[in-house]
Amino acid sequence: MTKLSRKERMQKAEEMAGISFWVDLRKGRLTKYAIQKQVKHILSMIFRYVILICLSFVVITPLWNLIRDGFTAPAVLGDKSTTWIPQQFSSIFMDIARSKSLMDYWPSLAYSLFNTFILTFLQVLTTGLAAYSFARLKFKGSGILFFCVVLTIVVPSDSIMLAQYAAFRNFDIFGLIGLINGTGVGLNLIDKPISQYILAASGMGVKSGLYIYFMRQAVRGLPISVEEAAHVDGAGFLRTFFSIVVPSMSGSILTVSVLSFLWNYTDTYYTGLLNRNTHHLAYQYSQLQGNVRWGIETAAKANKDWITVINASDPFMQTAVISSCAILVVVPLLIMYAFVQKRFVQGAARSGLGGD
Amino acid sequence: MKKDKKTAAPKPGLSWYKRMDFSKKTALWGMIFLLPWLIGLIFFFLRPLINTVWYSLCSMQMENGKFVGTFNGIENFKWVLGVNAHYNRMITTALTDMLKAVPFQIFLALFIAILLNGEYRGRGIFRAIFVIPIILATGVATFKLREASLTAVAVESVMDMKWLENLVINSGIPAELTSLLVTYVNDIFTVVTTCGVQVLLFLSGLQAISPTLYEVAKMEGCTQFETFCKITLPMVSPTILVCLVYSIAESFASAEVPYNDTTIRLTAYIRQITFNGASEYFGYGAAMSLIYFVVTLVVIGVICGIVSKGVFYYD
Repeated sequence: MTKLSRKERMQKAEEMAGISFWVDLRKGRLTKYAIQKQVKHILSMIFRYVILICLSFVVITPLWNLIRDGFTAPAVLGDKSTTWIPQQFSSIFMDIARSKSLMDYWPSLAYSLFNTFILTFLQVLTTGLAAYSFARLKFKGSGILFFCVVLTIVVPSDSIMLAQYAAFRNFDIFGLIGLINGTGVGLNLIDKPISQYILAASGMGVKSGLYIYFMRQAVRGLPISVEEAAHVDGAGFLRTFFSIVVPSMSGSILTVSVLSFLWNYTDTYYTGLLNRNTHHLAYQYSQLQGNVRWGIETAAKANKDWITVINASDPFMQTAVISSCAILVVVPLLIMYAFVQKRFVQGAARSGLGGD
Repeated sequence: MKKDKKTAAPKPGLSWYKRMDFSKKTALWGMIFLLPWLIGLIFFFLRPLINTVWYSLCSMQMENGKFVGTFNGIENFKWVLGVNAHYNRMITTALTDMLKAVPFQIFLALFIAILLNGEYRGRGIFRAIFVIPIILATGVATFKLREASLTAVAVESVMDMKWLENLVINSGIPAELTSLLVTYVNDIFTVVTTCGVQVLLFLSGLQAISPTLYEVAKMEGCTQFETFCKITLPMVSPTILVCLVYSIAESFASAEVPYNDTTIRLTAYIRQITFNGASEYFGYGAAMSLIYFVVTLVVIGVICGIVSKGVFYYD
């Protein structure tokens, strides 16, 4: 007996059961119902693709414009007849954008990714724990605290900006640090990555409130009986959380991680407020507007090939370089997401639970 | 043997934790799980927030490089709502815009998420595409991408919607309805680019639905529409609530409101007032933010209060 591969087994099963349209067609045993079903299927697919492609067009256009501008050759820049594809390609603007005087790309990318990984991890951990607590481990006052979660989503960050800055300018919890170093003054954590880490770990980072809310809803969507069973079998609360709840809501955690990563990576608000590191890509990008001319000039001076074709005061060149910088910021995220999205799979949390 | 020992009364004073009953343990662990967040809430959120509330009730003065507030009751609020010519109108515009935009946004996001979900060729590419708006809508868009592109190919010019508009207007449907419809159709491109987060949240919500439920529905002979109403909608209803809260908050935060013949972001206007230079404006700005988030909270409270009646949970 030879062992059949999965595909072969499926094929055999289809032939026997008559569930594939094409097999039925070949064998000449099509029923009216089968044809109806197939037509419906094809129509729904056409519908799906038409709408998705149309909407994708809307979504991609701005990105495509950036790419087009970034890869245009300096000679044909600003050409009015260009719509979608530049008349002459060149990677010169990308090279300028990557150079040391503008983005200093590879070190900056490494720093940004590293920093963002830490922030995402801390943020997801804290908000996940908090969300589980809000959903299942209720105590007196957790309702009021949950109201505070909604508050953190609603309150505009501008209105607490100064006070947050002050809290890190003179970082002190319960006056303990001042007591220890004897001066009565806390630490100055401004422009240090640790200030962002503290904010993320204490669940006040970029859009933390949304993550708590979302994961709380996800936990409430899980059947409680599994957790009860874990408790009956003697698992502690930490163990229940990490080995029962986390795996069964992995889809939501993945979504939150993706969002958290995207937002921390592109965040300029907290970076600008607390950690003005010139190596953070999105922050660098947000600072370009005033500096782009100087940056292009310096880059052109450093490279002989560029100095002849580049005119830093040309607004078209400036926008082209800015577009190139934007591509450099965005593309790593897209590549990473393309890999991650494969893990978005149908959850099977509720299968195998009789009676629920 | 061991089991017998455990069931025997534990020695007093030794294992206080083991003697605790389960509801107390739950509460204790609930607090432990919440602790990191709670610290952040108190130090980096509530304290600043209380400061803001206090400023809004004070007249602020600059003394020796420090802000000093003297309590003056609701004077700041009187100024914001009475003297300032813009703020009332701004808030009402933001409110009506929000009420118009959010239902459509949620509907479209759910629709896109349902299309993206499921088995079909190229879904990886499509899913990646619908994340682009999230990225472009954040800090990277500070430059206004439309202006950054050299030869502006506006999407609107590629897909001209005028004929559709005329068709709807001339079809004899009540004018209020058509104007709303037309704004929706015209806005569809902007709405698609602003509902990326909701699409992602819905996608995750849809994927958490067990396939067995759909199998059962199919076996019992449900139509597609029935399956949607009886399974998909209840199962994503918790996500709808999250999306509503997020959409409302976001819609207020990015509301473009009329200001001296142009438009300005509501939050930008508040910032402009706050850091106006004159120290008493600090109190006015605080009062404005306070009104802003109280209005947002009330709207969220009312809408989510209604919606949460229909939300389905397992617990």
